[in-house]
Amino acid sequence: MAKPIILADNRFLDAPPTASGTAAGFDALHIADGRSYTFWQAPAAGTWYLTVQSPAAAKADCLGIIGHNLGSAAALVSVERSMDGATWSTVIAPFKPVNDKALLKNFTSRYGLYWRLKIVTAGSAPYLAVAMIGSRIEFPFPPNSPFVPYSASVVEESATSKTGNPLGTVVRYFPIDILPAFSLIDRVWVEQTYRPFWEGHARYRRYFFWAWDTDTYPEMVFFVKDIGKYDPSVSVLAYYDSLKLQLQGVMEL
Amino acid sequence: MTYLANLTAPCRVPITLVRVTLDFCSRSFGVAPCTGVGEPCYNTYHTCKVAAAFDKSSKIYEFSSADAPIPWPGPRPYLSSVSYLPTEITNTVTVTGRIKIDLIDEPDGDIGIDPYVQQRASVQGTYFKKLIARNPNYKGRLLEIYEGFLGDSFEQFQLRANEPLELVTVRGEITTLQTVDLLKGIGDIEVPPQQDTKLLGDIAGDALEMILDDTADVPLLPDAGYVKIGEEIIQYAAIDRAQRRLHGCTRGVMGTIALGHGAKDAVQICRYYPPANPFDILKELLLVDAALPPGQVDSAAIDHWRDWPGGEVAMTAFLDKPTKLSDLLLGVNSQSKSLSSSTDLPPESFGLVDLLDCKIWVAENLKVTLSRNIPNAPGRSYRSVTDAATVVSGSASVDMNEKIRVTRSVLYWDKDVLGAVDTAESYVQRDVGVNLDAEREYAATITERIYCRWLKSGIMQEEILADYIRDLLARRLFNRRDAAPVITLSVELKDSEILTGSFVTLFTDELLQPDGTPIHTRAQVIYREPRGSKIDLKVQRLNVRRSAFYAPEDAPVYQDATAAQQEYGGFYCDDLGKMPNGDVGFFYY
Repeated sequence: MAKPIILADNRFLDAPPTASGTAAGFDALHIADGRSYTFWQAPAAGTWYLTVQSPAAAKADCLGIIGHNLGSAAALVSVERSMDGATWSTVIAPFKPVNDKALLKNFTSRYGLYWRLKIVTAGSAPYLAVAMIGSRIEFPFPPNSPFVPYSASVVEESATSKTGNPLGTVVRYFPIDILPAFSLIDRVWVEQTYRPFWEGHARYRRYFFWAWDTDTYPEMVFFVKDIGKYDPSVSVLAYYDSLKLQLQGVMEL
Repeated sequence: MTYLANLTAPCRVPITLVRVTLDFCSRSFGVAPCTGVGEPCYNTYHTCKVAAAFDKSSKIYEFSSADAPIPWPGPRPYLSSVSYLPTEITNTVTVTGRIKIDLIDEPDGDIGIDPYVQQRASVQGTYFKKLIARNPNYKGRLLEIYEGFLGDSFEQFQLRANEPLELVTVRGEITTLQTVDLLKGIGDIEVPPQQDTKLLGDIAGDALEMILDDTADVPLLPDAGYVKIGEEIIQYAAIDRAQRRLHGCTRGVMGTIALGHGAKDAVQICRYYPPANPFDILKELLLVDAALPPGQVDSAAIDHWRDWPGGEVAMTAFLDKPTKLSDLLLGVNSQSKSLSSSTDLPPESFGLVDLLDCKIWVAENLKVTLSRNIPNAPGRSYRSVTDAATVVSGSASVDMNEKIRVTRSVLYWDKDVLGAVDTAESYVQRDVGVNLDAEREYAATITERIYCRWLKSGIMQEEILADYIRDLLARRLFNRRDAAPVITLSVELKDSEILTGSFVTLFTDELLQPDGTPIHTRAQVIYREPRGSKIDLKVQRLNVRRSAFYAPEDAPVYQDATAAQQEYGGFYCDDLGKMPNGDVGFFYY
C-alpha cells in the first residue's frame, strides 16, 4: 500500500516548454499554465516530445497528466532526462495509459538539466492540458481511518410535471471533496516539507495532483486545490496533533 | 446520439458554445512585408504599428459552459449564462430582445492569444479586458451561439444565434456580450429619414425645378420622388446630385396647392407607398426601409399569407414627415383598459400588421416572420402540452386577459395627406362595427377608435373597399368577442422545440370547463424565454369559434373526423351553432 502523495512541483515551470510539433492554436506553453481546459495538441499522430531545459539541474520523481486523450489514442508515454540535451536516459519506461483520466506515475528520483515527455501515437493526434514532472510530496503514512477517498456530488436540475412525472434531468458536473486528516504527524516533516508546499502553492488555491494510494488505487488520481486553512494543532513536541486537508475538484467523465 | 435524441433523453449534459470572430492580422510582426520594430503588436488593427501591412483575416474565440465539462479541446469554459431575452408576440406589438451573454473573466497568461507572448517582459491583465483593449472596434463582428450535449461533435451542435456583436460591458469578473435584435432596430428607423435640407433661392408657384442649398442631405434623396415645402407637396422626376437640383417638378400634387417659396425654406423628403398589395408593402418596409438582409426576413411566410385566400385590397400611404418604422408596421397600440358600463378606449393607430389581422415577430431562427390570426388552418400541426407530461410542477398561472375584449370598433380612414395621423379630423371616412351580442352579454360597451393611414378611397372600386372594411371590423370584433386567457407555464428542456408562434393543444386544470373538468383547448405560444434547463412559455387560448374552410370531398362527419380533418371546419352545426359533441361551430372568415 502506497502512501498519499501530492505533485505540485513541476520542471515544466522552470522554463517555457517546447514541443516537437504543435497544432495551430494549441501551444505547448499551455501544459504548464495549470489550466485543465487549455491544451497542447500535436498536429498529427506520431512521435512527439514536450521538452524543458531547466536553468540548473533539478530533480524529479513523479509524472502527472490531466486532460488528455492518451488512453483512447493508445499512446505510449515515457519520461526522459538529459544533462546535455543530446544524450537521453529513460526514467519512466514507455507505458500505455488505461484511459483518458488523470494519471500519476512515480519513478526513482533523478537529476536532469533537460526533461522531456515522449508521446507516441499511431492513429490520432495526442493532446493534453496539464503535465507535471517534478518531485512529489509523500505523506509519512496513510490518512486517518475511516477515510473517504472522495465524496462526489451532483450539480443537476430535475423537473417534475404537475402530476409528478419526471420530465428530465440536466446534469451539469460532479464536484468532489476529499478530506484527509493525519494525526500525530511528524513536526519536522510538516514544517520542512508540507508547509513550504502550502506557502508556495496551496494557499494560492493552485491546483495539484493528489493520490491516496497509487499502488492499490492507481485510478484514484485527482487534480484538486486545497480550499482549507493551514492550521495544524500542536500539543506534543515532536508532532502536530492533526493536519487536515480540504481538497476540492471535479470528477472527470 | 443525435441532438434530438439527447434533447428527449431522460438525463443529459447540455453545453452551450459561443464563438466570437474578431479581426486578426495574418502576418508576423517585423517579418516582411510588416516592418514593425520594437514592442510587438497583438496582430489586431488597433495595436498595429504598420497599418499599411495589416492583412485582415479573422480569429475565432470559443467559450463553453462554465458549469459543464468542455466538449473538446479549444473552448474556454468561461460561459456563465446566455439570456435569450424573451420572444413575445401579442395582438398588436412585438417585443423581442437582445441576447445577453455573461462570461467569466480571469487573469490570463496570453498563451495562444498573444502571438508574441514569449517576447514580452511581463504579462498581466485579465482575458476579456485584454481582448477588448486589443479589439475595441468589435461592433458588428460575428457572434454565434450553439447548443449541444456532452459527447456530441461540433457538427452535431445546433446553431441558435448568428448575430452581429453590438455591445460589450465589463462589470467586475463578468464580461457581458450583447447582440441587437431586428425589430428593436426597426424602432430606431424613421421613414422618411430625418434630414436638414433647405431651398437655395426663392421659387415661384409654377417653377419646374429648384436648387437645394449646400447643407442638403442629397444622398438621402431618391432619384425621383416627392418633397414637401410648406403645405405643398412637389413631385420631382430626377435629381442632379452634383448641382443639388430637382428637375421635372409637378407642383401641388396629392391635393395640395402650388405656392411660391422662399430661400431657406425647409424641404422635407416624403415617402410614398403607391397602391399595392399590403403584404408586398410590408416586405418593402422590412427589406427597403429597414434595410434588413433578405436572409433575415421570412419572405416565404409573408408570401404564403399574401396568397392565402382572404383578398386584401390595395393599400397606400404618403408620409410627409419622419415616422417611426415600428409605428408604420405595428401601430401605436392602446393602453391598458378597464371594463365599466361604457368604456372608450384610448385611440390607437393601426399598423400594417394589425390591418392585415396578423402577428409579426422575430422567430427563434432570427428571421422576421408573420402569421395571420386564424383560429384554425388546414395542415396546421399542434404540439401536445399536458399537465402530466409537459407542464413543470408549480410553474403554471393564468391571466384571463379580458382586456382584449371589444364590442365596438370605430375605424377612421382615408387620411388627408398632410393631416396628423392621431386626430379624427384628419380622416375623411369613418366606419363602425358593433357586436350587439357581446354588448348584451357584457352589459357594457367597449369602444375602440382606430386611425388608419393605409386605407384610401379612390384607388379601387368603392364596393370592394367597403366590403373589406366591413369584414375587417367584423373579424376584429369576432376575435375580441371573448377573453383569450393566457396561461404561463414552464416546460423542460425536452420540450424546447416548442417555439414562439407555434400551436399547441393544451390539456390543463389551470382552466376548467363549466362542468369542472380540465380544458382541452388549442392555443398559440406568444412568449418564450429559455431559463437554464427550463423554458418559460405563455400560451394564449385560440378563439374557440373556428373558421370554415372547404374540406376535401371525402371528409367524414364531424364526430368521425380526425383533429387534422377538423382543422378544415366547414361542418354543419346544429340549431344552436354547436357541433354534435358540443364544440362551438364554424364561421366564415
